[in-house]
Amino acid sequence: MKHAFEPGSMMKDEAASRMGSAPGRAGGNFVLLRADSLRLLLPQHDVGAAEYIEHELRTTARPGIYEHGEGTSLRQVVALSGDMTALKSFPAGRFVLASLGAGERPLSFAWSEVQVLIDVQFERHPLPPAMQEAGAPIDGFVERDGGLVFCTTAERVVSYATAMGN
Amino acid sequence: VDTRLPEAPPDEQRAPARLLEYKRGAYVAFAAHATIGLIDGPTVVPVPGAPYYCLGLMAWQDRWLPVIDLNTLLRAYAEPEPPPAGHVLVLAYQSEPGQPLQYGAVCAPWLVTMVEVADRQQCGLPRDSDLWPWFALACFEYDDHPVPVLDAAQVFGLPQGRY
Repeated sequence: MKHAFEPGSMMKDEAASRMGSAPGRAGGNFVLLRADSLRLLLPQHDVGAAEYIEHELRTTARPGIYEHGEGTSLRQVVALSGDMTALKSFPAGRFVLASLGAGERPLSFAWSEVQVLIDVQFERHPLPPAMQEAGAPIDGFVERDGGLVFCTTAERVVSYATAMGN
Repeated sequence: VDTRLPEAPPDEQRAPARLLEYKRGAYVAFAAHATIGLIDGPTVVPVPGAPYYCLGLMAWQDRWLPVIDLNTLLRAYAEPEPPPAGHVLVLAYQSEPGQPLQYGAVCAPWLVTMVEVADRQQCGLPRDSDLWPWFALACFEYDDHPVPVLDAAQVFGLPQGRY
């Protein structure tokens, strides 16, 4: 990347700026969920046990909602796109389910990778104000393995994915 | 310094401004001291659920900055395909007087240049967007175009309440 002109006079306030936009520390137990290039970080207590997709998924009357299993192990499944909306066709490479949310019928989501992170510390960046849209599914991000992982909660994922699918 | 400005008396006071052609033939300006750098081809990471005029986050000097497409923001509807970031102009702003500086970036698909502006160039805002009064601090005439001077704090502020 090339810089075409030099910093202006406001750069003298650099130190003050870093204080205002500095990331905060976040620590504890988390689950990193990956859906292709999308990576999400949720509190561990928001995420149910992971299970492999062992049966073929069935489509339902609701676009973007699939079914997996039968009887007491019947799951309603969503596969997220890169912008966290429910995909209308089930993608390749999703092989593990993890339920999100509480209640009698938590919704399961299909992931490419599920990684439990125990007692980890992150530098958590809040989203810039310009990105803090009402109802947005993301409220911050961390840097990990050279990329961004977006901070969210089960409630946000479920409500955003189901609202966008309607 | 651009010369496409009316002849001025030699003692006339002028203020520098950074002129950005944000779409073909349409201009905005920012206070010169608020424009920090022009970046060529940054990698922009899309953020789920971000406003449609926000391309995502770009890394810059140990920070992550929001990248906004002014053309999409001002016309208030989304492109079917988001525009490439191309060049971006990094801006500094304060959300309130006395608060620390914050930074953001806007797409700079065309000309970015410096002009000097005098009070007598003041004119009315363009009529092609209802959002100009929200974002503009003032407006001046340049090369027969009205050029709103944008408040970066409004451009990069909370999106709620604009519409």
